[in-house]
Amino acid sequence: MKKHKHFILQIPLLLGLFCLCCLSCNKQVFRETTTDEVNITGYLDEHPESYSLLSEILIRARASGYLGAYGTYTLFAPDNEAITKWVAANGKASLDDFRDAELDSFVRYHVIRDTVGSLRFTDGKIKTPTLFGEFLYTDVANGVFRVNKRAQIIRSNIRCGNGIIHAINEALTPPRQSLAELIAGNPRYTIFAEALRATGFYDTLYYKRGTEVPAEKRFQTAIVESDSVFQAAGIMNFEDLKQRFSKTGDPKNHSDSLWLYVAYHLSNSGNYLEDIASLSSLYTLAPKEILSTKLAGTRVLLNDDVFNGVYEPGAELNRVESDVTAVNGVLHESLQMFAIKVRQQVPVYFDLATSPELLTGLGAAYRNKSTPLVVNGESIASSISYEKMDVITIGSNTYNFSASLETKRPYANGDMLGLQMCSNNANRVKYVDFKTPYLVKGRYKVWVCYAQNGNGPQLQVIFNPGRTDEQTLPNIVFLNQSLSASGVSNLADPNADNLMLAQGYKRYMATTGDYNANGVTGGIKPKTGSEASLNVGRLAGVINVETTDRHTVRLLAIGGTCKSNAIYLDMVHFIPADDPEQIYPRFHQLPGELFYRPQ
Amino acid sequence: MQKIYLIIGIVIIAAGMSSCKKWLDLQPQDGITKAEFWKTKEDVRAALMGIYSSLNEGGVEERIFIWGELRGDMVIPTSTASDDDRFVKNMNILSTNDISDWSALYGAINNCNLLIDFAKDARALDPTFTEDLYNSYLGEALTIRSLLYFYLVRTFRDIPLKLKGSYKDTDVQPTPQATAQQVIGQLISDLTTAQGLVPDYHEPPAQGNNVTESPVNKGRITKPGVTALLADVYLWNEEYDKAAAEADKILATNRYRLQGKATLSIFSSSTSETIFEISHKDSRESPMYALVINSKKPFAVDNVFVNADVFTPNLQGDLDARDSRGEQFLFASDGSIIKYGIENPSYYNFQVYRISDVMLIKAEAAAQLGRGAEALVILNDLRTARGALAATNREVDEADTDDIVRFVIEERARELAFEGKRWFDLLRLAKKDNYSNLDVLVDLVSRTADVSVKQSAINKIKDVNSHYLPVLETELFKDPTLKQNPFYTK
Repeated sequence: MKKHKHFILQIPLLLGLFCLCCLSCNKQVFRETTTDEVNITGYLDEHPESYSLLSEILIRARASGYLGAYGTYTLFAPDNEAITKWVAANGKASLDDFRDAELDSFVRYHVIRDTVGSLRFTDGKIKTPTLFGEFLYTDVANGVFRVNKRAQIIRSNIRCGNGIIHAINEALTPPRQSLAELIAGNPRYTIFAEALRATGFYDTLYYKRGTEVPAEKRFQTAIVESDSVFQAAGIMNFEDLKQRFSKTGDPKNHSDSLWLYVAYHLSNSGNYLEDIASLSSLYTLAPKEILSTKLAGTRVLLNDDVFNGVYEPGAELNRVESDVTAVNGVLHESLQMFAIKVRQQVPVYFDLATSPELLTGLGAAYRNKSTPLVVNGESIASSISYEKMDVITIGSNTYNFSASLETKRPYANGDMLGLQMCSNNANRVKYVDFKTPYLVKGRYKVWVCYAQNGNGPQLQVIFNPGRTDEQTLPNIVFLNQSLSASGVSNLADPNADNLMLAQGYKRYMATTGDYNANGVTGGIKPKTGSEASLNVGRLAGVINVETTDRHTVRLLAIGGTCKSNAIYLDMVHFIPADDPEQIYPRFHQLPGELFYRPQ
Repeated sequence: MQKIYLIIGIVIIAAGMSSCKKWLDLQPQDGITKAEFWKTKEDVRAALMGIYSSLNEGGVEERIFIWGELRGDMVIPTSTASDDDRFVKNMNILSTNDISDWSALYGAINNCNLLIDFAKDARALDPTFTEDLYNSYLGEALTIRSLLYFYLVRTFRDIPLKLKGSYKDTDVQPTPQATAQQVIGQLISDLTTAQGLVPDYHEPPAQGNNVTESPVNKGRITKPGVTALLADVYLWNEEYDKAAAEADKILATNRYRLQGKATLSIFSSSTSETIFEISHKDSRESPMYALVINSKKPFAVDNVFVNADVFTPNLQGDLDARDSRGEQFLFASDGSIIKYGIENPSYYNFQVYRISDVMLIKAEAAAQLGRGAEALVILNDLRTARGALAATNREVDEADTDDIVRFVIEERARELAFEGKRWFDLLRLAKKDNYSNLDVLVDLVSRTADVSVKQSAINKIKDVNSHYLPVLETELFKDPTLKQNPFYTK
């Protein structure tokens, strides 16, 4: 019995031994790292045949520390051949001949503190500057990405633990000259260079690395005309230019037209062609004067606009000679002369449903059929934007067209915008923003023209919301009110128009008795009866437009009922505040038919 | 005592036995055994139906649509599309872009390969398996394989040309890429063989009426189906005389006819226009509903371009006239492509070859052969039937080959809009005569790329390697013998 007990004790022992034998046979190897990926310096060390020189530079520049640690970096890595060339180009025999500080600058110009894969390259600058503080420029030549128009990317997007390496075949060197030196040093720009000196802008465009300047003036854009462009315009030398423009005789005077002419060619912040093309307007150093920009096909055009119904051809930028990087910005060349346009204030009758962007978006539907203004979650016209795009009624905002002539609720040009806005309903947007046509600087009366609907909300008009010149207009536009809200009950009264004008109301659609040169008769509003008062022009207030540009008008719902399809917006009139004629012309369903005071 | 040792021994042995079970079983875990299959003609028929099923599963149609339309100009990615889709529009394609996923096509190709390899085993075993039936099955598999390779070779250029089936994972061997010319050569030889194997009808039409025929003759490959594909391959390969001859074989029979103005029924109910379609009727729902019709669709018609430049409205004459293939009829103003059906789920069929396609292949080939007048007659017939607008008529000189070919391509954009053909049409036009029309593609990206990358995109498309997609990164990883398109190695 005792013996037996002894044996029972042995069983666990035996089993234990057995288990131990099994386990000891295959030792488990655990991975202690989370990834095999090396960091940037690790990658360079692994490829000494290409990057031994770069590794050496990194060590001497004390950059291998941060490039070997965790972080987000992009390194443009020149290979050994490229660095050898760079050393020779600097007149040195080897890397030992460089001071550590020089190598430090070299490294900082090749590193961006961000992970910028080739998917983020554009036809312009990389949006994050290098550690050196200046931007790199990318483009594509022969199907391959280039940096600063020289170095080709021979292998892109090499992923490392702490960022991305792009292998390049040439070392990057920061530009040596400032804008002022670039222009003065180019024999093709002698006339402009002289104008720069005469106006004092040479100093504005001059910059030496290390100088303290305000951040907004660190990078600038200059668009110049070459001598041959001037000569084609009959300006043979600087004296001719001065004679043409300088009115005060002192080009340094800020009200002198030559000073303004040169200022109009310069702007703050460094913009490449790609930036210029997508900006739509460029603020220049000439106070309150802008350059309008656009991309037509692949051409970048300045001041190529339709103004007051007239097409004004603009100046084209020369792609080959543009996008020249300077220490303090970018230099472009224009193929034609351009100058500030002196414009007189003119009334702008803005048919909301007929902006050029909307015409593009509507395509064949324009003056043809009613069409949603938002398709696939995006506004079909870049000139119309909404408070938010995720409300369920967003697709119910429509362009409406009706061809048959009518007198109850006709619309100028036969079309109007049926919008869904409300101040307190989560299913509708609160406001819609419209980009206006060009408004010449000055003061304007703003008239909102609509067709009355009993369920329409109340709108407040805000000019340039969110900008420094934001202006909220005083009069609320009650979309549910007809002309009778003006207090004038008899619209047939010969003095009714003046009485209404005094209250800030007007008839904006063709009315019986108005004069039309083509003798159009159909679809003219009567002066009496229930239909007479349904098309309303309401004075929202007076705005002060500070720059000649396209601006923004916001229509904000601030109260009232809001049911579906209750907003019939037709036009917004901007009429110079001093213009005594605020009532005429009146509009008609037929495009282009205007009606004037009875003659 | 002894008993206890015995028990311990038994336990250990039992433990050992239980773990043996798996490696004693010789049945493969990753597939059916071919020893139990390929015995009767029913087995082969089941395999053939499996091939058609892999076509209408969704993946194949989605790839055809995306490869053919996203790189073109008539379809745009909407706000719900992926970033990858938008990068394609900007010529910013990396080898990690999902657009290069070709697995759906190679999956279907493997099914074809298996049938081609093993149908003869069943033929040897099953005495009721007639020669005609065997030939038909074999020819259909060859044709579908060719169709899929034709899409792949036009999309990727150098592709692995796999002609043997894989039953299990271990069968998969690295297959080096064949050049585009080798692939096209293989397709021409396979399709010529298939022409002699596949019958004209799987279900003969009723006597005296050769217009209404069973949808089976549209959803399965018939001899005209093989011929249409062969004509298309010849056209791509710039063998215009052969392309015209093949197209004539179909046009001469009068079996397929235009039904007049285009209607949705062409896409829903296997009309006399269809030669081959991927059938969804009474089967799986079409994958296209989610892609191009649904309110959250990732792809939509570029209405601005299509309404202005493809279906240009009349500015004089009959202003109210509408092309029956245009907006309101086959696509909607919100960008939905309703030729893929409007109900959810949609069971509309995916058109692969229609008689109008063959007419236009013939017209293009004839124009290239200097028979401009013949091409214009065909174009005119088609345009009259469809109610094309005067505004889209190109005034061309019969002797101006280039102008007529461009007119054909424009007409193809209208007739075959959104059917996964646009990019391939433009590429065929651009690459012919040693890339003499590269301007077509430069013009394309100058319209479709974003402002910020337009110049880059234009400079990229001038490199002809960029016209073909990269091999997906994961495929390169799986098969080290694959070589990446040189455009994507930098």
